[in-house]
Amino acid sequence: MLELILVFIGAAVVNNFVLSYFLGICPFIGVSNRLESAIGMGMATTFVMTLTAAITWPVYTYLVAPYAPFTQYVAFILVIAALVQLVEMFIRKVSPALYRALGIYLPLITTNCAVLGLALLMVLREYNYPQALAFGFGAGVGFSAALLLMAGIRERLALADVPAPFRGAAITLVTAGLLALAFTGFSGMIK
Amino acid sequence: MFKTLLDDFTKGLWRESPTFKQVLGMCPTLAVTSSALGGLSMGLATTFVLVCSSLVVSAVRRVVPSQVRIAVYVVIIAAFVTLADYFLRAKFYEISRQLGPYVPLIVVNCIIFGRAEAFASRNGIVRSVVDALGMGTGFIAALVVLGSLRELLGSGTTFGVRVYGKHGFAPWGTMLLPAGAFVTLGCLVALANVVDARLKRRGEAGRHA
Amino acid sequence: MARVAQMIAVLVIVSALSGGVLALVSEALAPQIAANEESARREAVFAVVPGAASYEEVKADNASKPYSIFVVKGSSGEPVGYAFECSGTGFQAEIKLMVGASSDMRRLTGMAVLASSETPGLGDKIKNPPFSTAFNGLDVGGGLRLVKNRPSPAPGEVNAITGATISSSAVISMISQRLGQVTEFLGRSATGGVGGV
Repeated sequence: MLELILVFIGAAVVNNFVLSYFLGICPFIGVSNRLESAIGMGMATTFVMTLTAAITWPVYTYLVAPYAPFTQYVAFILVIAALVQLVEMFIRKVSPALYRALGIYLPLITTNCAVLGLALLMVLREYNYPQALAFGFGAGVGFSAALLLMAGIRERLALADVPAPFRGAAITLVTAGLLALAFTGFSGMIK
Repeated sequence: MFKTLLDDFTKGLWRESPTFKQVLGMCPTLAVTSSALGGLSMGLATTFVLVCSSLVVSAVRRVVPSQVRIAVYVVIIAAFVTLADYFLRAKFYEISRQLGPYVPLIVVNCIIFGRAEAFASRNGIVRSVVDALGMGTGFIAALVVLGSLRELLGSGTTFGVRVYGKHGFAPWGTMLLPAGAFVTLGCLVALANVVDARLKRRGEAGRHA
Repeated sequence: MARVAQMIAVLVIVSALSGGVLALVSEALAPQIAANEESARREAVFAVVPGAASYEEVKADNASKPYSIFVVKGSSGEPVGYAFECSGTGFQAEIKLMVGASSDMRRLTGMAVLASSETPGLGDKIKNPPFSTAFNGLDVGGGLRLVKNRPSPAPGEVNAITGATISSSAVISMISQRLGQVTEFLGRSATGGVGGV
């Protein structure tokens, strides 16, 4: 049990997917300008990531690895694309407002490197099933946390006097750099 | 005809630079640019997948029904990435190890999917390939610039050749960490905006003259 | 109906073609990839056990994940030592090492860093002397310990890198742990435990 908690904390904080592994940057920059859409995106992505871990692990272990290891990337991305499609339909039914707010970014979760990266790392590190689930959930939480932090900062930045060349993506990247620096403080926390 | 093609190619180099203007494909841009060689290798691998997938997507664009196009594009892209990955692991093992898990991540590089959706699915094969080449070259250029900067400041070397750092002046290690990547790219994007504004002003002044 | 049929047909054809091409390519390139991985491993094993000419792989399972012990032989087939991989979490990410030990498991013969992404200029120094060479011929009969600023370390003691205690102690503790597992597996008496700084 402790080991699962460590995997979770490792993925969420110590090796945060966005700030340490550079995964999920596109939505990180794209959706983090407003707190509500950041929350929605974070929840949707966490949901997709946990489900991705849950489904790709057995697909890899029982189908891909023993019979056709060269289909790994194709199989993973198809699973992810299907999951995102399902989540999209689900959100549309449950909360049309959220669906509109997320807009184009919802189907873009498919190309979110964090989701595919999660599946790849899970295989690389040879996690067992419970570890993979903890990993997927932790990665999603970490991604959401980074997204929320970024959104909070950007809402303030929107009112600040940012020099013209830096407005938009540039200042966001620099801010992300400072956030990444802060997260370096968590390094070495897990033995 | 040639002028259109030339325009298709050059727009990827600056005007619609995937890195500095469209801010796409960030994940590999930040992850593998701790050295110039890493940036170059990733850029070449991505360009290979970009060109091949744009070619195939354009070739089949009339027979693929729009509801399944995302699945089809994704399978095509993933297949080419698998090819590139196997090729690297067989012929350039050291580079493959250095790029690590970021090679399979080319599958979700927004640039490739973006071009397939925005251009290759609506244009002929020749134009699509030229567009892909332009975007790819722009991407390679951006990665090499970022990689060289980070490598020079962070390790004191360029493409592995030591420039400084042996005696006294210590390299700036943070450049090789995520923080350095973000900040450097942010400053480069800002720089691109400055250059762009200057060019626009000069263009306008020229017209009014 | 024709629409659905077309959709399915396209998907099936694209998938089958991709699958076929990938299967062919992977068949063709698999031997070379295996050869590359083998030669990288060979290089690492030879780097940590002096006098190595060949080795055999033995799978061990007395750790949380199975690992391999390489029984290293010299040019006339005589045993010259063992090599084994160990890995663990460092300061930034995972560290992977190849460690060599003498045949009686009382001395280490070398250490090579296979993969690491520690802080450049600090934790990254585990790859360079004096830390990387501190393991050559190190007597670990009484255990392996990390110490600080000892000008003449006693047997079994390794000086930590200044400013990189976490990376240094991660290396020490993963080697210690693996040493214990290998020794146990090979059926000899366990070495001493890990000391702290």
